[in-house]
Amino acid sequence: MSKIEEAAELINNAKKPFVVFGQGVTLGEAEEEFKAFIEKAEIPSASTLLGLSALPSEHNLHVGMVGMHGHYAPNVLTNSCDVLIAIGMRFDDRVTGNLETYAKQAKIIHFEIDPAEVDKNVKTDVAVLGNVKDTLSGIIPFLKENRHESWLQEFKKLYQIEYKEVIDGQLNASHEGITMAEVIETLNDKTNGEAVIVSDVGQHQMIASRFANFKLPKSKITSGGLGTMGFALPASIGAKMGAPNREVVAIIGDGSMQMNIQELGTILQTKVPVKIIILNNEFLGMVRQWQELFFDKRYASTVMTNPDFIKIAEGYGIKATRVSKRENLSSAIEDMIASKESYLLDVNVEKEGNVFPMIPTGATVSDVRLK
Amino acid sequence: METVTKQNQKVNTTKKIKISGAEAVVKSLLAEGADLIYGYPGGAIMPVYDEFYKYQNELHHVLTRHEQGAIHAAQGFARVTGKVGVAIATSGPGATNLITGVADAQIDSTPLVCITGQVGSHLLGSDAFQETDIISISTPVTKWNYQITKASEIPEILAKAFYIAKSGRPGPVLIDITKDAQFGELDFTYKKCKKLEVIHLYLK
Amino acid sequence: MQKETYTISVYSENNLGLLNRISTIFLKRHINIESLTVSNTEIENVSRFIIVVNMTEENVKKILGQIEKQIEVIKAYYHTNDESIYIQSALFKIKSNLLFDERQIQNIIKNSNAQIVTVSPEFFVIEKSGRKEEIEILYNKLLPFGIMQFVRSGRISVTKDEMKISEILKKQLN
Repeated sequence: MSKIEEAAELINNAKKPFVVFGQGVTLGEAEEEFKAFIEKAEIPSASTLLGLSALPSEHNLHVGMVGMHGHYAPNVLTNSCDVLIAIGMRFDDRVTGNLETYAKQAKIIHFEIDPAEVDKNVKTDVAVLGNVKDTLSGIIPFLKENRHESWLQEFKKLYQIEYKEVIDGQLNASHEGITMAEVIETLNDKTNGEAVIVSDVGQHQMIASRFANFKLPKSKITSGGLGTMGFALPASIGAKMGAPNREVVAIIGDGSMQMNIQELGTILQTKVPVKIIILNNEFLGMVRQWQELFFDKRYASTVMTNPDFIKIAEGYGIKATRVSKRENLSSAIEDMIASKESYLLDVNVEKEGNVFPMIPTGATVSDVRLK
Repeated sequence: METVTKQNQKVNTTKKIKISGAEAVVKSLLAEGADLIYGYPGGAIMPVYDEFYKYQNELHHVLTRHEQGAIHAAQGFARVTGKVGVAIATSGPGATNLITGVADAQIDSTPLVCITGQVGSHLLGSDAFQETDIISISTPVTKWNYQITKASEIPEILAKAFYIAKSGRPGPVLIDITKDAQFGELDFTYKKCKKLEVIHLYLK
Repeated sequence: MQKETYTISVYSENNLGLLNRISTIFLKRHINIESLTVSNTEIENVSRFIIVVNMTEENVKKILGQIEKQIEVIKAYYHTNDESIYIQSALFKIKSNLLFDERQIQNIIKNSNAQIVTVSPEFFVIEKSGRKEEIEILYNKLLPFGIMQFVRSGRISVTKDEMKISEILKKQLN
């Protein structure tokens, strides 16, 4: 039996199959094959950080993002599935947490192009080597049409818990400070989920990844494995030039903005109409969150005294507006999107917001914390 | 706004013509369909930039404000198009400023070809002005790298670089070109790399 | 899992930078290379690295995966000591007068199957090929008398099984 047939047999007999998909789907340009694969066998699918937008966010089989700041359901149910199908992802430590307690109950199928990745972190039962575009289309004929309604419902139930405990408070905040989530939600609305979102590194990156609505492939660009601050501003310039007909919006923290701020000069000279949203909390947010949770709020070197980003942008010939009040958020983003030129929005968000859920380093994925 | 809308000039790949190494770099890039590149000039890469000036209607070079900006822009371009991103910098600090982006592309499997200028080959190892051993520095963070010291190597090495960057699991490739190789002359023909041939690697 | 001594054979094209890349792969994981030899092979333009390490089999497989990812590498294999035929060489430079003043030295040389390669009024040089342990025994025997210079080569080995390099190359060239 070929590896494909072996994998198909495991999937066909699975009661709780679970797909985790990564950038391999995007790199292999296999979005259509992937969709057909999961739809035929009705498999709940979760994305890694770099896999986002390979499947439209609102697809009913898309159950969220896995990983340290991913969604509650996929992280918890990783340790309940009976067959875990990894597609174009490399079991990064931010996704697996403690390897000793990662999906030990499941049979693992790994669709992967790089043989060195197979069995590198996680022992696989069946490895299907090759470009996922070929291997996914190759396995579909061997798959049985299947329904996993009650298994899928388990994901939806846990999502309701996450909504109540975490998401609702961020989208419908009663306190004065604007939340990062609200900004992303409004952006989804004004761009119809069709923009390319380029995010930098930190809390804003996690919120943008959790809340952005992706309808089209190749819509999420971020520094994943290395986590390079200062990535988004220049990367968004390259992205806009590569996709001039798409709206490209860079989501950048106030710390990250200052790492490669000189690239505003490239925007000035090339006039590339990139849109920039600074989620400004006057902190090095992610490090501050860790200092709050694990170092008794000893904020060592995470307080940022920021310049006036509006004045700087205007110095670089870029239109800029500041948003400090919730009621101005919607119209400000609308104006930014409507502009045919580059535009910078400096949004003052709540200073000490935290990103949840969270799997602390080395913890078990199913012990993901909601607060 | 300048974007990727210019038509590729048809590169004559069948007839042999005598050109400089620097011009061979430009012609090779165009033959690979890389007509939008990001970079920052400097002494060791000036011959190539001189050719950019001559070819400005076919090859669009975007001047960033830091080499790190150039390489991250090339990454953004590669991620959104699926094509190989190209970044170019001079020797020494120009090359080392690319390294963060190269490491980023390596771990996130982004196809990139980075071209760095290098001091003349007779100066290698002498601590010359803006000289760094970028090959050693970039070895752990590239899929492949190579130092070109003869103009005749340019077309084949660049073809191999683009192939390696894009094939299998994509990743960054760094090609270091000494200044005398840029000034040197060669009979130019270009052949795209269809697969890696093991033995016949360096045609003399 | 148990650690064992493995001989890793890496077949590659001749390339300057490859030695650097391969040693970095071991360095990154803090693995000590016990012995490293590079030579050309029975196939033109193909080199072979012979690397001796002490690791678990699981880790050897992971290392091989990383090595085979390198562009100029054709194929990498690993073998245990039992699966290989291997030897090392050593040279001992010793003061000439000891040969006459210390009778035991002649017996030591004869019993250890070492060969005298050079004799001069000031010094003589003996060569011993064999297992690492045998060289060590000879070294310890000669040490009390004084050794002027000592050097030991890396391990060279051939495997009992076939390493199908020619076939792989033929397939790639077609």
